[in-house]
Amino acid sequence: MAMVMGEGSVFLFLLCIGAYFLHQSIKKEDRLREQQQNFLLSVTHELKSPLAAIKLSIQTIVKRDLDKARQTSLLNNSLKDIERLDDLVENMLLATKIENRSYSFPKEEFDLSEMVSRITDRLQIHSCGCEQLINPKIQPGVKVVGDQFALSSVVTNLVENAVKYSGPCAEVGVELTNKDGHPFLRVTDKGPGIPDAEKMLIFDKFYRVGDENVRKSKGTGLGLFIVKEVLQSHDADISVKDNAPQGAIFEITFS
Amino acid sequence: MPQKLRILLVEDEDHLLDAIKLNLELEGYKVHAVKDGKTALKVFKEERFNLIILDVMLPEMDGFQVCETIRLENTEVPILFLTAKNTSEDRVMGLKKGADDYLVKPFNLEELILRVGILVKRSMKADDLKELNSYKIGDKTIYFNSFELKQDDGLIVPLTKKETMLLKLLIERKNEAVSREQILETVWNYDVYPSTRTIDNFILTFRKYFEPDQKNPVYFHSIRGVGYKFTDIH
Repeated sequence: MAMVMGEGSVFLFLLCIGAYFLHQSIKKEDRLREQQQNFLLSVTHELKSPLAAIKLSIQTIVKRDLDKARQTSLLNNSLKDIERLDDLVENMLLATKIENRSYSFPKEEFDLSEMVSRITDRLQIHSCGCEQLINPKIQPGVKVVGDQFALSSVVTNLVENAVKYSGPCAEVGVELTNKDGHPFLRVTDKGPGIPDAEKMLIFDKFYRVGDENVRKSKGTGLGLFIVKEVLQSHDADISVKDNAPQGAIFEITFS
Repeated sequence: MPQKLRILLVEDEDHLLDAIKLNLELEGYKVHAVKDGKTALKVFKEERFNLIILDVMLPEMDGFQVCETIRLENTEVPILFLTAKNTSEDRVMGLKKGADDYLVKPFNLEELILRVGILVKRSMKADDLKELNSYKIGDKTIYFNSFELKQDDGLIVPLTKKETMLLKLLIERKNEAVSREQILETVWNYDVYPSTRTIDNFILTFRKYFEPDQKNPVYFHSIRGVGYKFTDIH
C-alpha cells in the first residue's frame, strides 16, 4: 500500500512539474504571438501614416492653388516623413541582419563625442522646436573601437526614445564622459518612466509597453532590441533605471 | 459650401492632420481637429458636428471605442474611419461599431473629399427630417410627432404610424415623383411586401382627408409606372 502511495505521489509530482512547464511554455508562446501581432500593427501604422501624409501633401499641391509658404510647409513635412520611413527601413534591415548573424560589425577606432554631437544636433532640429529640449554635455575626444554605423543606430534610438516619451519640450539629457577610463553614455528623460516589471522586457524584439491600438508614441519595438544586440557585440553594458521625480535613465558603459 | 458645416477630425499624426484639415477648410468646412480619443469625446459632447473623421490607432482611447461611445448617444452623425488598418476584419469591426464609411491610408484626396461630401449631405437630410414637426395642407395640419391630423374647426383625426411616415416622405419630396421602391424602403423597411393596392389605399385615404374633390386630386397624384407625387399648391 505504501509503495503504491509512494509511486502515486512521485507520478503526481512529475505530472505537476510537467503541467507547470507546459503552462510556462504556452504563456511564452502567447506573449511572443502577441508581440508579433503588435509588431505587425505598429509597422502597418508606421509605414502607412507617413506614406498617407506624403501622398496627401503632394496631391494637395497638385490640386490646389497654394501660396509659396503653404507649399513649402507641406514639402518640408513630406521630407521629414521620408526620413522617418528611411529610419524605419534601416532599423528593420539592421534587426534582420543581426538576427540572421549576417552582420559582422566591422570595428575601427573613432571619435564617439563627434558622433553623439552630430546625432543630438540632428534630432534637435526634428523636435518640437524648443531650443532647450536636448541638453548635451559631451566631453570632447572620447574614443571607442566599434562599428560606427551600428553604434550610431544605438545612440539615435536611445535619444529618439527619450524625446518621444518626454512631454512636449521637456528636457532630455545626453551626457558622454570617460569614466575611470571607460567611455560612458547616459541618456535621461522626464517621460512616464518604465515600470519595474517591464524593464527586463523592453529589450526583447517587438516588445512595446502598452496596447498598440491606444498607442501614445511612434515605434515598432525594434529600437531597443537593436541597442541590446549591438552593445552585446561590443562588450558594452546597458542598464535602465528610474529618473527622479519621473522618467527613465539609460546608461552605457564600454569596456 | 456654406461655412456652417462642421467636421470633427481625430488624427494623431501631425502632418496628416495638417494636410487633411487644410483640404477640408479649402472645401469650405469648419474643422475642429484633435489628436486623441478622449479629447475627441469631450469635444463631441460640447459641440455639434455634421461629420466625424476618426483614426483607429489613437492615444488614450482607440477609434473603435470612440465610435461606440458616440453611437450610445447619437446614432445620426455620420462617422468616417480613416485608418491604416486594412484587413476585412478591421473594416467589419469599424462598420459594426457604427461607422458609416471606411477609408484606408494612404487614400486619394479626391476620394476623401467625395466621401466627405456624401456623408455631410446625408447628415443635413437627417437634420431636415428632424425639423419637420408639422405641415399644413389646405385647412388641415399634420402633426408628425403625435400622429394626428387637426382640422381648422378643431376636429382631430388620428393617423396610423405608416400613414404618418408616408405623408412625411411625400411632403419632404414635394413636387418630385417618389418611386414605389423608395416608399417600400422608407415606410415598410422591406419587412413585408405590401401589394400595389396597399400603397394605393393609403393614397386614397389621403385624398379623402385632404382633397376637396377626390376624383380630381390637386395634392396627391399617382404617376403611372413610377409611383406617387405630392404637390403643394400654396
